[in-house]
Amino acid sequence: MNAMLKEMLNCVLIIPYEEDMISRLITINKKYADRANRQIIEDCVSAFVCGTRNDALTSFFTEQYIGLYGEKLVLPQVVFYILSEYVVYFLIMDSESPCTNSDKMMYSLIVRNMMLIRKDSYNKLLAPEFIPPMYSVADQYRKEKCQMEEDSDSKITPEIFESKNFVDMNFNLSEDHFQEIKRLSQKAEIWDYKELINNIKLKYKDKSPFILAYFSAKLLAVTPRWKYVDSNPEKTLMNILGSNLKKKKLENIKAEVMECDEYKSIDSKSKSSVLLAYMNSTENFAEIGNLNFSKLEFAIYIYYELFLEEQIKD
Amino acid sequence: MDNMDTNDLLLQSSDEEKGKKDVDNVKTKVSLQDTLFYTDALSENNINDIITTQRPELFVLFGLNDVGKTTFVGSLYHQLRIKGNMAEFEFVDSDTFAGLERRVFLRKCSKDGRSDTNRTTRSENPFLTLHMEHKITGRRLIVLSDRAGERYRDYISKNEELVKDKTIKYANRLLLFINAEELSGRPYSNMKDEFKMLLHRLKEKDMLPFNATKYIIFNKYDKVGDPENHILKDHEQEIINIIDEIFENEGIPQYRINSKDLDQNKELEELFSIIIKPLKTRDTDLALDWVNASIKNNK
Repeated sequence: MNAMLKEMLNCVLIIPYEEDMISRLITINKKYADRANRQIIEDCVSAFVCGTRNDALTSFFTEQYIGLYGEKLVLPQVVFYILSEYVVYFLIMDSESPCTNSDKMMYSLIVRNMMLIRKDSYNKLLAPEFIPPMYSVADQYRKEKCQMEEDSDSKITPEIFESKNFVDMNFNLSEDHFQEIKRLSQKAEIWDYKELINNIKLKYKDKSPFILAYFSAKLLAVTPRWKYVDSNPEKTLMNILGSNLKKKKLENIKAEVMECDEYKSIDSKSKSSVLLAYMNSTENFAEIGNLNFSKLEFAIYIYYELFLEEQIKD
Repeated sequence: MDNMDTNDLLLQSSDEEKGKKDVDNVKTKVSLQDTLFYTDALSENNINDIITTQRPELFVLFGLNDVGKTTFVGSLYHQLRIKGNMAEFEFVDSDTFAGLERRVFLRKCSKDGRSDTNRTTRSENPFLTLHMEHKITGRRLIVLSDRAGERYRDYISKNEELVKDKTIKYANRLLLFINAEELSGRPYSNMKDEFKMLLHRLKEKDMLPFNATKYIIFNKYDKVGDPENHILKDHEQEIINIIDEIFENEGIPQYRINSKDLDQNKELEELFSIIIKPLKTRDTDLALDWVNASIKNNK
């Protein structure tokens, strides 16, 4: 990982740091990564995506450096932004990362969701080439989680249709039946999801495209009990919304959605839920009001913000 | 002493004084070095401290001594101060005004064209900054590396000096200076061999910036006599061939200038404009826009 941090730092430095310095920064990074949680990751992502000062990381590095090496650490602010990016990259991508796959998926979504702020200004990112590899971790996790349970010997169906209870079926429920029950539950959830899609189409067919986009995204993200019922939510949203790419300013989309009787504000827990925070208050992320979105872009961003919020248990 | 920072030289006390001062003095020195409180040229130790948001563009002025690198910088700074802008960019600030003023001082010359002053010394800090601002695209920071030619000469024979160089490899633009006056005279053969050796040694150590934008600058062209002289032309071509071969890159643009004369000097002004204009930036990676990348993949 020394080479990776060196490469990242070289995106901002005029003269590269010596290997010794890189190794020292890596050592402190690993200590910081060990105590990482969602809030710490959000601060890191906010630093390298939005250019927000990451005071927690700066203090940690400064204190650790003097403690470990007996020297004062003086680094330009941009280096702390890169160190923030490296912490996140390490936790999501590195084989030595202490995170679970579920954590990695959440951190990957935090990066993706926060990138909305850079929608029209990707050129302001300091080390952009390291960002897209972090996106795909959330998709890989979804791919694993949306797998249908393998077909097993059928012991519950068709008998259950003609029975009133398990006694009727002469059936004792045990671990042996887990696979079949899970598969049946998944099938039921898929059925419900298809129904949900049809209902959305019917209910909002006369509404404006952005109201349809908002409520489609919300219902698809929040309603299913099996959160990974949809292996490709983008495709589902495309099927519901069609491919009209006409764009609208976010501040106008917000006004339109909020006028809808059905709209209720949603409290968000993650700092990366930029759109939800913006919808709740004019003070939150006011600068994004001028960004233009197609209905599909808007729906996809909203879907993943709500999806992440659903995953946050703390 | 050669590798000392000019901050070190300024902050250094005599041996006698040193004996009298204690830890407080060391503390003061450390704190002074931590803070950029005056505007001399910067060193490899503190140039990174000026970065604020984006990596600045690094221009390396490359060439042996007496090729006019410092004169070139002094003239560029002079023009920026006089005109205030160049190539649609306004010159708005520098972190190294004293360093730039010193280059202007060093380029002073007598009527016969010889320098009246000592040239850039080995211990001189190399980095100078120009903050430029465009009405539409906003601010950009240019960092010029103007190192003493003697340092480059040292690279030919002293491996330990060569490997210390951390600048050339990271240049965004490499300005290769040749003294045109030497092309048709007796020193040519020597100069060619040294220049070739210097480039070869850097290439051997993987210290050349192959992706940098390169410019071949035949400086002091006012001193060549007949510019159509076939010996001059042949030697120019030999130098161009050496550079092309080293960089495995044909068609590096060439400029024939006199960086000292600032009166109606169109060639010099044109070159200044070219280097002040930003390089074409890389297109944004479409994969950063994950939403539209996903829409595209699903179509």
